[in-house]
Amino acid sequence: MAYTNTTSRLRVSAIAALACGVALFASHSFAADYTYNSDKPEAKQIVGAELSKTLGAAPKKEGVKIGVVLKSLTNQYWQGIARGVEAAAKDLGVEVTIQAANSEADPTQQLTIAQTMIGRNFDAYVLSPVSVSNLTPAVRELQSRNVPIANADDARIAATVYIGPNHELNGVVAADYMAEHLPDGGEVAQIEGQAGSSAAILRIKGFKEGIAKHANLKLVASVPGNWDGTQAYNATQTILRKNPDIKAIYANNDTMAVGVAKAVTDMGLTGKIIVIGTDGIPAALDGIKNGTITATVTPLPYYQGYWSVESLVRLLGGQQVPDWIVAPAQLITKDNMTEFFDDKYEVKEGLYNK
Amino acid sequence: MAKLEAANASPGAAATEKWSVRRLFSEWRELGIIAALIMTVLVFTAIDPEFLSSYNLVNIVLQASVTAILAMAVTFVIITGGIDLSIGTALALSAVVSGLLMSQGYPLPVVVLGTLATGALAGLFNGTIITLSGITPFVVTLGSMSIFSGLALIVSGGQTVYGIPPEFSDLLAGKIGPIPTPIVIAFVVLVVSSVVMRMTKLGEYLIALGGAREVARLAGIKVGFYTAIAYVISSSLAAVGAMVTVGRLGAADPALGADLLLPAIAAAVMGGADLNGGEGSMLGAVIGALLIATLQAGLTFLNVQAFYQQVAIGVVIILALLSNRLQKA
Repeated sequence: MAYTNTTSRLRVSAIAALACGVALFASHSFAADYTYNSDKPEAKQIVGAELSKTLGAAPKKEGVKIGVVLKSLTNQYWQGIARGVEAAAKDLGVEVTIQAANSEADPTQQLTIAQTMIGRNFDAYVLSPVSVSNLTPAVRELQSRNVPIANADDARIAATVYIGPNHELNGVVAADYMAEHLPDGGEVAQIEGQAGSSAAILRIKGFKEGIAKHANLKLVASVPGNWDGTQAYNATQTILRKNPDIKAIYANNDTMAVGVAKAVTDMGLTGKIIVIGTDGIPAALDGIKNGTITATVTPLPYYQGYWSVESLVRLLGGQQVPDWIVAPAQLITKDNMTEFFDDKYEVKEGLYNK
Repeated sequence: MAKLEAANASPGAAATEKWSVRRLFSEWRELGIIAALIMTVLVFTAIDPEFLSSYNLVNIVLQASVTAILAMAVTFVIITGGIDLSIGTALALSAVVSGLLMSQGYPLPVVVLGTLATGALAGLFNGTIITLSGITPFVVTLGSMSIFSGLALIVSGGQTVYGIPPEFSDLLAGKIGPIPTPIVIAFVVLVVSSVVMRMTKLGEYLIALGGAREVARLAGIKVGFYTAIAYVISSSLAAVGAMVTVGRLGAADPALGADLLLPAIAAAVMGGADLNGGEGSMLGAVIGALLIATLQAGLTFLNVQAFYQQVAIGVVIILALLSNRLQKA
């Protein structure tokens, strides 16, 4: 125990020494000054599973209380994050309080909850904002109080640490899978998420760049589906009629992938076209199980919740945690699904560190 | 108020007595809800002393500010014997308009005037239809609720409007000295509304419309005109609430406001507004909004999930109205 402590301290001071000016300033006070740079382009990255290897064991601290404000608990994706939060709290011996808005479309209620939670003076907060701006007043308040914030999953805010997927990588992983399974190359298409959404922009970019790496793959259509299953269904029918040689379609999320799969099935092309989605929602996993969807790329929400709490415990214990804990993009297929998910499509625990 | 109710009352000595009893009751009503508010705060404080922290108290008032503005808005209409179910979506429509104006870099006066004009037009639409058609306000504003919601989606293209310059957020949702701006705005609305109701002809006429429409007509009050005015005020105040909301969220979501309608009407009624018209209190409406915000904050403190909070708040609203009724009987 003592040994781990010393090594982690050594590492901490090594990092601090590198950041020379900041280190000088910081050495004057014992109270940790938390940074809020997780949304900056130059945010330092670390893969979630590497946390323990790089920083050593998470420090033990008595009586730590963490407040968690999620988007909504009506969706299995967010329930997955909540499960991860609770599991980490149990493993690390801290107390968590989870609150969420009634729906993912209620920015005001989420702000109300967040601001009230601040009044309860938790030691640190996990926030998953409905939008990039709706929690701004709460985030500012926490910043002025020097309270560490972990920003989990989607909308990125100026937090101490961001725990979420590299959306660009999601697109790349999908492109690589296509290249691997289409050795003779061919035409591919993409159904894009909501224009302007950061997740969509990055996934589109990642997929396009991924396809460009493989000379024999050609992106013949990239059309908007606005995260919507029906729009994806219609778009797929249109592009498949125009380009009957398409061999693979990547949808920026699973709701659209389900729509794509339905269109492919209705046109009698099941199994002839590779369909890949993103997120790992049950409907898509169901599609993978029965063969209408080929694969989905998911950051495994359970671990985002877990690492959110873990990174806050580390920060409160005085460790330096990189700005961005990357939740790896896992490609889920029929073959490896049971490795990651149980029968109820819940993410399995202990995949990375146990 | 006195003049009108005296006119309503039966002639002779009983008139003075009834006047004073009614007046006592209306005072009692505000006292009742103030007592309920204080008790709620005390109960939550007894459970968790942190509840009484200055941050939390200010936060509760802050959370109540937009509901309070809407509760006062709807009070103007309820007093005339009407109802405005469209204030929530009028807020959404004005919010989207103000969001677009802000994000396209228009200066503050243009944003404020444009947003208020949107609200006023929405209210003028309600008021005109109600006055000209004679259809009940409930049905007309039910229809316009849907119309305004649709317009908000059309104007915004169904998308949340982002890119609100931080200056607007700071101005509308920042602080004036130590006090959050939304609280100041709600307070100003309270003062102005109370003055209008108590000290102007307009206030007197609005009460007259709700208390005894025929008497008001015979007394030469332009019933149609003043009815329409009430709806214009209501929607314009919704536009004020819209600017505050957009400032706070840093974005304008066309789906805003749907969840504000019920608390606003509940706050108004808990605060003493009579759905039959003729009675209502701006201060009461504000305290009603504070009571709802206190409950929300308290339940969050007790770690009650949002789903259960909705049930709890509904129960409290019914209880409050029940006790009002018992008091009256």
